Amino acid sequence: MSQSLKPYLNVVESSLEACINLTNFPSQEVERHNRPEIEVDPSRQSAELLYQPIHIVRNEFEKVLIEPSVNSLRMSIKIKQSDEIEKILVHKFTNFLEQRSDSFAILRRKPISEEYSISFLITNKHTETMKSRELVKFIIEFMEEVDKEVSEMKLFLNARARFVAEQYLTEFIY
Amino acid sequence: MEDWRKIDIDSLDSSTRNKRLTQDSILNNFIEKGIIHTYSSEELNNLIGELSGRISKNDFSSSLLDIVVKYPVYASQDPELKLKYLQLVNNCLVNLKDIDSIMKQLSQDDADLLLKYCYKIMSLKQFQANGQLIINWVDKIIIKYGQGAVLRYITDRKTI
Amino acid sequence: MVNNNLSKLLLSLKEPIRSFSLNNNILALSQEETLLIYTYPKLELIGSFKEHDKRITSIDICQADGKILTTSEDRTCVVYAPGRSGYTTSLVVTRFLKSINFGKWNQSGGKFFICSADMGQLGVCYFDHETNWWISKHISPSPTHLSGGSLTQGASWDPENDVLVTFGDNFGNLTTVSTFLKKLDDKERLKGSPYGEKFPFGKILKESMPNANGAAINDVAYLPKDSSKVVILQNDGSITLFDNVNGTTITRVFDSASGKPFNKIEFISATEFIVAGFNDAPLLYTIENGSSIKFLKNLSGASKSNQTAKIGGQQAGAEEEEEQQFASGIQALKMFKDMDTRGKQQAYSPSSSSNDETNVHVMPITDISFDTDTLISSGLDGKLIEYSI
Repeated sequence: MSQSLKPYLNVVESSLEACINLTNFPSQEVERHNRPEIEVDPSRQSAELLYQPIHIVRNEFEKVLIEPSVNSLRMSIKIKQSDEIEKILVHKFTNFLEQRSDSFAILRRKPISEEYSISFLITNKHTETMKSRELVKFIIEFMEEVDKEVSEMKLFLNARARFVAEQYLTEFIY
Repeated sequence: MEDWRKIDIDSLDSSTRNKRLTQDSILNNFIEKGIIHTYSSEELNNLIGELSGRISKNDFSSSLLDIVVKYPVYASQDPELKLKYLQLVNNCLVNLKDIDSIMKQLSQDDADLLLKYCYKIMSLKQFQANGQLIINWVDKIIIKYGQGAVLRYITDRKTI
Repeated sequence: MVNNNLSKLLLSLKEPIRSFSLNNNILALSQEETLLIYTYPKLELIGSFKEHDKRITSIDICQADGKILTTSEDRTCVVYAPGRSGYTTSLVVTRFLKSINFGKWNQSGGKFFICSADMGQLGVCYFDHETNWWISKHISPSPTHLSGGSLTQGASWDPENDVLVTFGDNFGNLTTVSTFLKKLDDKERLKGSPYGEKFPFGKILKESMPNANGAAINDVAYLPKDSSKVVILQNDGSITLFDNVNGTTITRVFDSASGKPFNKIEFISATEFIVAGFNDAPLLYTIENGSSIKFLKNLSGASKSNQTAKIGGQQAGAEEEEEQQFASGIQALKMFKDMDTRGKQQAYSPSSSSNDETNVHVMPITDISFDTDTLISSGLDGKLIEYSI
């Protein structure tokens, strides 16, 4: 891990742990309902149920947004994408995960906006069945791994492209 | 009445909530109750003058932060000026290199306020290029005061 | 103080225990919609009721006559009166439109208050013998209140007179009101109360915002010997000793070891109290000279190492990692990789905590109760743990 990545992940980890104190909160707007307050339409949201959002920004290409509320929190990650190939890879990779978000409880089907690559949605239902500390650890590990994963895929892709190109071009060598 | 299905019957019942709190109403209420001080343009200009004077003299000593943590600019009459002030605070944080020794002097309340500035600065697009340097500050604050500092930040309604 | 941290696992249930109450050898606890009644300390199940169709939010057993009160997200309360042939239930219709978050009997057992999520209103319920019906009267906070927020689980009867109630809402407002009912209450007991002279029903006696930061109030407790002061727990993790009559904060402390907010407070003597919540462990504090709050000890000895390791976002000690039954991050990511590269399909199912038999909480504590040198805590992990102090 590079020297500057560590404080970044530390800050994300502590911030996330401070936000993950979620309680059961029966809706005060709709009777007999219990919904994640962070996902409520902004025009019908009560501000006292939302907490201050946290932006943790390394640079324009690598950042995290945590939006906490009384019973749910949303965390969005922008994965580092330094060139066109990485952009495609990240898009494919996150798309793949999101389509299978059923099998993984806390993944959101869509990132909250174009700005971010992937979003997690943690509600009190999750923190009541899983240890919140483990959830945080998972997300941090995901952040650590995903960069590695993308650059590995890129290397793999490049190697394959080179091989294919060589194979193809040998045709023309007499 | 054609679209009777769209009538919001809740608003006709006085016992249901038809007035929601918004960020703005919270801020206004805090100002009304005197919890938050609104900085006039003149006051803020003075602050800016003092900070930029120090910066132009390359005086990046720890006393610089004393100014920052002494005057929490929660509300100001002129949003442009507030942005300018944040720019200066950003400048200070980026240029102050000796974070550890400054952290030793910061009290918990000061650190909480500094954290508010840090998160605010990171949320603004124009300052994001230097994010890593701000993260170092946040990291040091959390090391000293624990994640309780972040908890205090998210639950505090007095926001920069 | 003898340092014998004796804690014992009483029960380990499937569902989270969101609330429980212990009184006169009867222990009542909730399992989502179901109320379970046990004898204590033998823990024989003597009753199971499913009167609510939504989650039970709080349980209280009346000190005077053992009546049990449950409040629920389905907007109703139920009173279970003990009799020879078991408990008879009666529904309390509250007219509140939203969830009832908290309810508590007064000492004499004649009435109870309920906190609703409906416009931050407080309900006061009492039994009307003429109509043979529980009546619920509402008290609304004044319109000058900053928030239309719902009441959170924070309200307490004034121990000196059994009539005044102080409650906190989720925007940090603290309100003291009178619930004086001619039929039930004795005017004499209110004499000399620091909160005023006249106490008509529903009168708002004090309104303040402790610490002026808008952080939700999770619980309130009067000082047992001095009802002009209260201790409040806020969602920013603070424990505040608050002068409720003058509206000033006397002192405010944080638990720097965990940095987590607390859910419940319970006084165990005139000056000592216990707080518990998201830190997963009950902590004992004391008030010194009526002006400062001092940490005494963590009652759950085992989780101490866990807490200190967490400070400052540094990596937690590896030794506690071994006892995880929960799917850890590595496993989940591995599952993704398997799906990605090998097309394996396997659902991710976090195991529940029910197989965990240790005597420490692994999830936030939801409720605590103290009775002559024994403290019991319940947690979202479905555990009920007993500590001797």
